[in-house]
Amino acid sequence: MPKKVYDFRGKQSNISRLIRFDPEAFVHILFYRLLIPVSIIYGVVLLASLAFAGLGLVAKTLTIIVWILFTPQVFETAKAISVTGSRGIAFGHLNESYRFILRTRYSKKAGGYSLFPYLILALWVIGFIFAVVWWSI
Amino acid sequence: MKGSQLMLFSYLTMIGVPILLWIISVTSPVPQTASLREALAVLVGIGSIVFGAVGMREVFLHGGKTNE
Repeated sequence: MPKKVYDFRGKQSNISRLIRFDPEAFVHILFYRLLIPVSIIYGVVLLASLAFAGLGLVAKTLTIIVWILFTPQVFETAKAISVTGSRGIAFGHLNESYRFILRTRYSKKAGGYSLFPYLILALWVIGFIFAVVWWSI
Repeated sequence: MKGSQLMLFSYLTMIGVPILLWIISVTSPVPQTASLREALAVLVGIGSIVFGAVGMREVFLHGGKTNE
């Protein structure tokens, strides 16, 4: 049976439908789609810049672009690790009674997991500043 | 529904490329790490191409499915 790829929210392939109910996911998927072709070009340029020093500035510029495009991916990956690590208590949108059962059964608290993506994001921004100021291969 | 085994490369590069980029970036002010950065840049370059290729297949070629 073919998979149904549309519902009341519109066609699944139309990513702009996400703006209305999940803007964070929209940013994530938009940046991912932009990142895909840029990433291939970046890989080729970065490898070429190791052989030809003249490409250093192009590689640095592309690094900054890739860095910005990677930001939502890094944040969402850290968030996914938080969700799975805390069994859904951090960022899981679970209802109160189910959270209570989880806490009782696994003695789990959101703990550091609810801060983890923001910590990773802070490190990522610090790395970005280093890349802008000092990047060199 | 069965996940594609190719997605392993997607997850590996999705996590690996940012970590390596970050290491290159924060070690950039230290001149003694030049050869380390060069070695990591090779990995980042290969990782970026793999990440892009798997992403291309996943997003733009719809996971290689043609009859959907």
